[in-house]
Amino acid sequence: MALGDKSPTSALYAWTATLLTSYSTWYFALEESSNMSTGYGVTTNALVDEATGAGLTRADGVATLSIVTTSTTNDTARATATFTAASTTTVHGHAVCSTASTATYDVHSWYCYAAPVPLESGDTLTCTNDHEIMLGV
Amino acid sequence: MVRVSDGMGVRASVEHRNKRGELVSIQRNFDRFPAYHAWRAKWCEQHRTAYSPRGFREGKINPLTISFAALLKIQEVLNGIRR
Repeated sequence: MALGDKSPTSALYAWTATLLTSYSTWYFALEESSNMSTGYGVTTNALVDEATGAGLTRADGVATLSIVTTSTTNDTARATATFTAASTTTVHGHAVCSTASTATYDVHSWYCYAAPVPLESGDTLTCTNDHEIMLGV
Repeated sequence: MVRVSDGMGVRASVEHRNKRGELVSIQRNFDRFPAYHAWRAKWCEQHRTAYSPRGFREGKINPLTISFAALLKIQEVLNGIRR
């Protein structure tokens, strides 16, 4: 069987993306640990050292959700949020979670930055994760 | 619970601006890690080979330069070998 034979219809991609965005409120959490680059894997469901500084908490990172098109119409659930730092820190990555509680993790996806981002008070950090529904590997 | 897995790819970006609104840095990634990890772990299990996600991340294969199409091609070839 060719790989393409396993693909569902594009309507299912769009339906799944819409379903994802209606699942719950999404939040961005910022990772301050440099261990993110080696400590994260397919089973990751918790941050190593979540940012707690002013303006940088998960509560500050409520995501704006939208449906966009990447490969097929409306196949992508986009989450984006902008943090405004009121403290100084270095951010190594971010994760999208479906709970506001830092004690109960529920990580959808995560992004380990190629280079750490040093933030000073007044800086802004805009995070975006596009979740494209597609043929799996 | 919803997790990124086979059937979902993630494109991520981060944009850093200073307090004057000037762009300091922007990073983007087209990340198939979760699906790749799942597929690679399964492949290694089938071939009785130890799998280390850490090894992958340390640069044996650069995730930023391997395309999804290439991964599909690799899998297709491996499937052919197994058959």
